[in-house]
Amino acid sequence: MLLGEKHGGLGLGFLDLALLCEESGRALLPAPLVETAVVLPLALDAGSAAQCERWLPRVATGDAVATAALAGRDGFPLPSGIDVRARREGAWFVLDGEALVVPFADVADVMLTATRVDDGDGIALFLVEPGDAGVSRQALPGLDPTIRTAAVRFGGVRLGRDRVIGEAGGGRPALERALRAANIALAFQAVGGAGRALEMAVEYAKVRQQFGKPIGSFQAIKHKCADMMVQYETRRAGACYAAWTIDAGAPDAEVAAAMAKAMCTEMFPYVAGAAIQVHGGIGFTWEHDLHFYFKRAKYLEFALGTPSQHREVVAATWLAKSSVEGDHR
Amino acid sequence: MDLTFTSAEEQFRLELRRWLYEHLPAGWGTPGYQYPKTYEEWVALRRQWDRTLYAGGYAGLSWPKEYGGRGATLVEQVIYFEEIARARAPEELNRAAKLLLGPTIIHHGTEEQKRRFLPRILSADDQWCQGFSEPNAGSDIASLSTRAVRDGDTLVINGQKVWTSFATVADWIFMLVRTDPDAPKHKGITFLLADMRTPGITVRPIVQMTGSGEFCETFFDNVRVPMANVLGGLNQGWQVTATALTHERGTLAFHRHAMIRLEFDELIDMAKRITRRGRPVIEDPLLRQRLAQCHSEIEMLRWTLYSNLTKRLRGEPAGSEGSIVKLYWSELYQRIVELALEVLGPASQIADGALAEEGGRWQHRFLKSRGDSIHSGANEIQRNIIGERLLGLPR
Repeated sequence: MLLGEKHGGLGLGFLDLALLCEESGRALLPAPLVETAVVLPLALDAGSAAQCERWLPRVATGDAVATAALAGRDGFPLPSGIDVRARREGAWFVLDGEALVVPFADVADVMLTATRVDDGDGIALFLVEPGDAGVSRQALPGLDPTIRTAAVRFGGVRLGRDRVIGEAGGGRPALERALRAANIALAFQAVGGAGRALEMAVEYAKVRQQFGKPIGSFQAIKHKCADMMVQYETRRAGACYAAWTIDAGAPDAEVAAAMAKAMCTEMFPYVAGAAIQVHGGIGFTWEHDLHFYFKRAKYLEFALGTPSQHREVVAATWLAKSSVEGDHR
Repeated sequence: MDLTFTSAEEQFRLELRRWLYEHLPAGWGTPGYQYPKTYEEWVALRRQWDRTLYAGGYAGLSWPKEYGGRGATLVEQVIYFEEIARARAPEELNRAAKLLLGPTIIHHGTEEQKRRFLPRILSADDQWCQGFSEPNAGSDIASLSTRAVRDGDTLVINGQKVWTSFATVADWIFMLVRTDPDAPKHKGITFLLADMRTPGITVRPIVQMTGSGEFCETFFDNVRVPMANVLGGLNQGWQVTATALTHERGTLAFHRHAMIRLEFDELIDMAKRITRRGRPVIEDPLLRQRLAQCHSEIEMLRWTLYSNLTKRLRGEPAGSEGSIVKLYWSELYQRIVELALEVLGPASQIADGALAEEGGRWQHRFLKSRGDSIHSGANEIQRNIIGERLLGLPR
């Protein structure tokens, strides 16, 4: 959807894509949509014509699936969570290190990989393919059984210059851009999933009878559902704003994205957990779908960093800003 | 969601900002400003401020021009509330009359009532108080028992109202009375306007938990009010009230958001200034997280408001989503002022005097915030509304 028409895309805005992500969250889509439709195309904005030509048309038709290997054990890529090093050796780069919890690495045709260059802090983004020698993937039994994740190890992976997006060492802006959008996309998936979990709770509360009445008539249940709705509606509004900052090029896009990621992906586990509680025993069974929502909620909460790590992005802006009082005129 | 203002709207904002700067007392809103100390001085100041707003053409912003209002658009009303918050302008003393009563008279009043009451609300010549709650009718307002019995061309009122804010200084009261005790409880209520100087009315101030405040209880002992002061017809009071209450939670929430944002920014300043173990509180990892959470939640409130506004601009009627907003900001604000006391640390226990931080304003806000989840429909009632009207759960 974000891709231009020349690559077979629709050339739509980010808000449109965000709504698609919301629907994918509702449906618990078991696929690397965010990596394929958001992270790779945005990173390739800085890529060469040949790189775009190789991947984007196939991404647009759905023939190529992408994933992203962005962070190691820290989980939060920037500023210090990247655990893969790329060392220059003549015309080649040699990659060593590990990326954790990479979604659908087993089926990806291309893996956007974030690295530190040589011994410095510079960043290079690589297009790694599964057949590249030295790449190994270890499947990780997941908390969320609908997202297959892997630890991806890079043991002396030799790649040519044609695999670097932009300049090696200058990849930070492209990575920031892709991360910002990815965080918002994940936030929308959380919103979509929470919306469905809330619906399921409300539908059940209307029909399940105890003490001779629908349980939704009891304030203990009714008020719980009201609280779920308040969290859902306010977070969704925040996610919409964050998506708007991308299309509008607003200066607060980074903070808005961090807030949306933290707020929406914390809201989803709360709503999914409360929905299980409203359902009682049936909600605790494997047979009922709710546990998939609960597990997906936890996946989204920790994807690309924890809510606390994202809140730290918000807090960091205050130290840079001067005092507010007295400047209100 | 459209988040940009037109140039005409920006112009309105700039004019208002300049007007506020020129008409508020010099230094108003800045840290060293000496605000009034007593309740009486505050009341006098706020009443004078109502007159100033009227002279400047900013009273009755949302009212149609034919009734002396400005006929402002929804967006202009939002801008107004954002700007008066930004300037920390005093709260209008006659706000309830301008936001609730005026629109209700415009909707339900007779021509004579409109001519008689509307201009004097805007000019602040008549100060109004609100008589809805009773000792035994709070959230269940329809069970009110203040009686009004017809005697020819007059109604004779007996009973008691409570939480009648500013009743000690009010010229008039708009109130609900029971006129048909045999009808179902929603159907025997009448909306009535009464002159506070009528013989038989006694007002007693009630001290709020902040130690000050505007609360009162108001007693009615054979108070005779002309039938001409019935608004919207005998026994029609419940429907008339419903109109009044839809006006209560609309654009006003933008004012609350702007105030909360302003106070939160003050809190951040304070967290940079106050130290623990030699480091500014803002560097404490745990408090920093909680501050960032509150900051994010204020932003969520803001975008919820703008999202609702966009819906109304598209022509969708204001519905029960006001309940979401009210529930959310009142509880968020309570979390913020609680966090402020934690930032203060031991200084949180010093509420006044030379050693008090920032003149004790955080302690005052902390106490006052407890009222926010009670007034204008207790939060439990808001949860019922959300559950029943928005989610469709059974009663």
